[in-house]
Formats: sequence, C-alpha cells, structure tokens
Amino acid sequence: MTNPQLFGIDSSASMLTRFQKDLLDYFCKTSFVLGHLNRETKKVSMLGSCFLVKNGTIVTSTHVVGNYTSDLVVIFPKILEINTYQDTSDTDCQLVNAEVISQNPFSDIAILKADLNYSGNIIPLGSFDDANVLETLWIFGFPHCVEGRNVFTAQQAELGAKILLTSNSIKSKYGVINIQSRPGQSGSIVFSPTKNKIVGMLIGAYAINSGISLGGINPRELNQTTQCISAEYISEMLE
Amino acid sequence: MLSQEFSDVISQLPKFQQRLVTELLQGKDDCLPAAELYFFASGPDNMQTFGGEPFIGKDLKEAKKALWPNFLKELTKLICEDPEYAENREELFKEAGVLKTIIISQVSALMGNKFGLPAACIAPAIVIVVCTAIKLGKNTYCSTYAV
Repeated sequence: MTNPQLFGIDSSASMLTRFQKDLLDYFCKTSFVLGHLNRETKKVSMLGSCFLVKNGTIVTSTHVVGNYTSDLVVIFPKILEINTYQDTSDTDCQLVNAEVISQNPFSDIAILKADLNYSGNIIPLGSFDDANVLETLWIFGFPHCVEGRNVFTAQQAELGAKILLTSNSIKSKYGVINIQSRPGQSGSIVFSPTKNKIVGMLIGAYAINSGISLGGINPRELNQTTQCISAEYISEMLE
Repeated sequence: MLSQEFSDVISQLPKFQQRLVTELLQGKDDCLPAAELYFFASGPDNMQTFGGEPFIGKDLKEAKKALWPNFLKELTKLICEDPEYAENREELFKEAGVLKTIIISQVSALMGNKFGLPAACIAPAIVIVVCTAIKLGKNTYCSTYAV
C-alpha cells in the first residue's frame, strides 16, 4: 500500500524538478552570446553574454559592446534543452543582427534591438531589493566565450552582500555573489528562483589594479567577489 | 531646482537619462564638469570586467578622454552658430538661434556620426553642455568657450 504522505512528498518533489527543468530550458532559449562579425573574414569574435528582456530586445554590459557601433550579432542558442550535450567542436553558428539602442554607462548596461522572439511568458525583471543575503541565486551565461568556447552554463551561488557602487559620482545598487567569474560572463542573468525574477546582471569582479598581469590576468581578480548590477536599472531603460 | 529652460531641453531625453543628468547637476554651479562626467562614465572603479575585446575597457576610457576636447569644440561651434553648421541649422533648431529649441536627437545623430559614437549615448552630455550655454547666456558661453 502506498503511504499517502510519502506519495505526496514524492509528487511535490517531482513537480519541483519539472518546474526547475522548465525554467532551465527557458534560460537555454533566452540567453545568448553577443559577438562582432568581421565582414571580411566572416568570423565572429564572441564578446560576452546577453539575454532577452522582451521580444526584440536584449541586454548586456556596455563594456561587452565596447566601441562597436555596427556589425554586432547575437549567436542563436545551440541547445534548447538544458541536459543536451554541447559539442564544443561545432563552430557553426546562426547569427541575428543586433544594434545598440540605449546605454547607461554609469551602471554599465546596454540595451540592443535584435530580431529575437520567445513565444511564452518572459521572466520579469526585479531588483536586488527582492533578494535576501545568503539566498541562493542562479547565474546563466557563457564563461570563456571570449576565448572561443560557446557553452551555455548554469551556476548557483549565494548573495553575499548588497552594495552601492559609485561611478563618476552616480551611485547604483549591486549584489555581490559568492562565486568566481571568468571572461565571457559579463552580461549573464542573475535569477532568484524563490522570487521567480531576474534580479541582476553580472558585470565583473572587485579587483584593484595589482600592476601585474599574468597572461592578461590581474591576480587580484581571482576571488569570489562577483559584482552584479541590480535589474531595476535595466527596467528603467525599457520604460 | 532646474530652470524651465533646462527642463525643456532635458525632457527630450529618456526618463533614465533625465534622472542621471539631474543627479549630476544637483547642487553644481558649474554644469560643464557634469558633461565630462557623463562622457567619460564607464562603470565603477576597481571592477575587473569579463567581456568585450581584451583590455577594451581601459582603451575605451582613454579614447573617450582624448575625444572630449574635440567633441566639446565641435558642439560649441554648433551652439555658437559657426558657419560650418549653417546648412544644418534648420534641422537642428526648431527656432533659429534659440538655444532652448535645440533638437537633441538631431544634434546627437550629427555629432555621433562625426565622432563614431552611438547617438543615444552622447545625448545626455550634449544636453548638459546646452544647459551650460543656457545658464551662462549664449553670448557669454560663446565668448568663453568658442575658439
């Protein structure tokens, strides 16, 4: 005979798993690599991560875009289901043109127009106001894409602190997440599974200039102090 | 408190840029340094970023710093009715010679094209320079800053 109580627990556990799986699949479909197309060589340099915030509109960091004013492209997702093996030797890609329509250089946010649409509900933007310190957050992006590796990666980390950072006298809200980040992750989604909202976007790590560069790496960036801008600043740019 | 003439110009910006410009101008007698702050802004200090072309962050900051004097010089020529911009005057101002009727989107497009910068990103710095000229009075601004 089945214990109804245990049956109930098993059932809710599998529901949760299914819900998580749907969410992860959603992020597979709505997270992208932003690149720059060299029209002569027809090669794409991958610049960083970006994600869909509404149909036809994506967001990333201004430093990911850099000083490119043309030939920006979004690389269409290679997998549409989280547990699919991603073939790292497959260098073919489908491109969608993108164009910068707005930037907030103080909060390091760039909004781009791109012909990308998602047929279901798009996960809303929130703020680090919605998240609690020590809450587990999910991070979705493309670590190492700037080095030529296009692998959609899901991570989780706790919110370690909420901070205000100043850029040229303007203060903005940031969340510090307890994880080490690598090149390519700028522009990654930071999602709160408990609030079901995108609460931030990964920008970089706290690192003062050490004056030393080891293969292009500042040794002081190798820490677990990843800084993410609060998503409310993305929302205000979409108004 | 911003004057009505300032508000007429600032209201041409999207709301988030209006907020940033207002914060930058808060409590400042001299507006021009705020335009520089906007022009050079590139995220907080002590941030190791993880995207873009290698080292582009540092290059971008340096490139923008190098561009600023020329950018300001060109914008001042436009504000001060230099003959170089005579042909564009009708598309840049709703009312010829009246600074508060400047059409920021048109000026940004023209300057962006000239300096290879996205128009939407330089509009706030342009607004602050125009506000400086409005505050000082066009004649005083032009006699002080036009070369």
